[in-house]
Amino acid sequence: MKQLLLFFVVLWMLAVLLGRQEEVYSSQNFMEWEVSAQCLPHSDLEVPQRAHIRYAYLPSMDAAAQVQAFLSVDGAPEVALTRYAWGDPSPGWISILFKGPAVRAHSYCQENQNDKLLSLSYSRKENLQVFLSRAGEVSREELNPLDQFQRSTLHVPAQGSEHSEYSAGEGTSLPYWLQFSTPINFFSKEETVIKYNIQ
Amino acid sequence: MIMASHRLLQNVEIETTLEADASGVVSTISTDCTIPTPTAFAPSIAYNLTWAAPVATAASTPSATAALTGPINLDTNPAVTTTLNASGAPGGFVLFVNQSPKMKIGGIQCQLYSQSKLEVNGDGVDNLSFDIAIQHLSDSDTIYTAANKVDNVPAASKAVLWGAGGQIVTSNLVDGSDEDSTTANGDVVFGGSVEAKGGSEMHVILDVTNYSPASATDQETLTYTFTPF
Repeated sequence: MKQLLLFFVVLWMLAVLLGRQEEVYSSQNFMEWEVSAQCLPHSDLEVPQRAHIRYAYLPSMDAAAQVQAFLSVDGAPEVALTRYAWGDPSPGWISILFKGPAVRAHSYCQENQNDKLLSLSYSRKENLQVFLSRAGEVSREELNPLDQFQRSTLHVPAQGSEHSEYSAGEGTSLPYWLQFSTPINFFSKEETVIKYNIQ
Repeated sequence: MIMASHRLLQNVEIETTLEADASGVVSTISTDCTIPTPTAFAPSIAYNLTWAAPVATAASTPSATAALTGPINLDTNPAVTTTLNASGAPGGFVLFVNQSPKMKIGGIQCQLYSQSKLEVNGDGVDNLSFDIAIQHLSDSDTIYTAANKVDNVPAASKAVLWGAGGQIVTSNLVDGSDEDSTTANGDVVFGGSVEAKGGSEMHVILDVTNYSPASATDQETLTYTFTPF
């Protein structure tokens, strides 16, 4: 009698266990997600927010007046001019050249990591013109008017281990110079906006 | 064992839309010029007169050199011609003629100025043994014109060299058309061999008869006044 009772107890426990396993399987319905991601080509571009130039003329007994000029970018320590040229781009004007500040870009979702074109444009002012110089010499390659990028372009090679980094300007392997030209007898402050675009 | 008999199938598409930034990124550039103080520069000039050894068959002949102190823009000492008993000069005087040395006014950048008037006056003591006239470059080197004498001009009524009524040029000298170069640089430089670019001549006479010139006493101080416009 006891053996028979023990048999039924074991049978009941087995049934309970089987029932729980069915519940477990029932709560684990297979979910198959087909996930596709689409990322359009995109580049982030970092450029200086603000740059300021201060310059002064120093009369000299021995030669033409000397020019001192300094450029500060985003509050960083000032850097001195590269060179200046009297009478450029026309008599009565002076051109002051500085190494162009660093610009950096990262590109994403692009299979083709070839060189990119960094284009510069600016808002031309009556008393301030800006030119792009590729070798630190006086240039006549005036930046484009705003939002026109036909000229003033630099071929920027891909860099970094992922070949998705691009940079040009001060401290990079692709320096460029910005030439600021203003009338000698201009005596007010002037301000312009330079727009960078990378494609 | 009971297995689940159905499959849950879902399509989930993640789309990232990040368009290339066609508008670019802007950087603001500003400029600011420190206005300089106008500064004028003029050199000193000293003449050294020598005589050839006397000969029996002709009059003694003088020669002279001029040396600049504080030359402007690396100016060189001018050549001097000498004439004894020149026309227009008192008898027994030697006439020295040389191109006027360079002078200039700087520090007029970042201001409205781009040209300069030039005036001159003496020191108020006229040494009658030593007179200076400022003349045209084209004037004869053997004629002294007393009307162009400047070392006796009082400060109150300066002689105008360049500018309205000027005895050399009747207009101001304009930067960019001055002596230093063909392009403007903010300095206005007088001097050189082109009158329209600021050139002129100094005609100096010195008494050499019954008189012993000495550098300590036979000197004149000319004050040049540059007025920028």
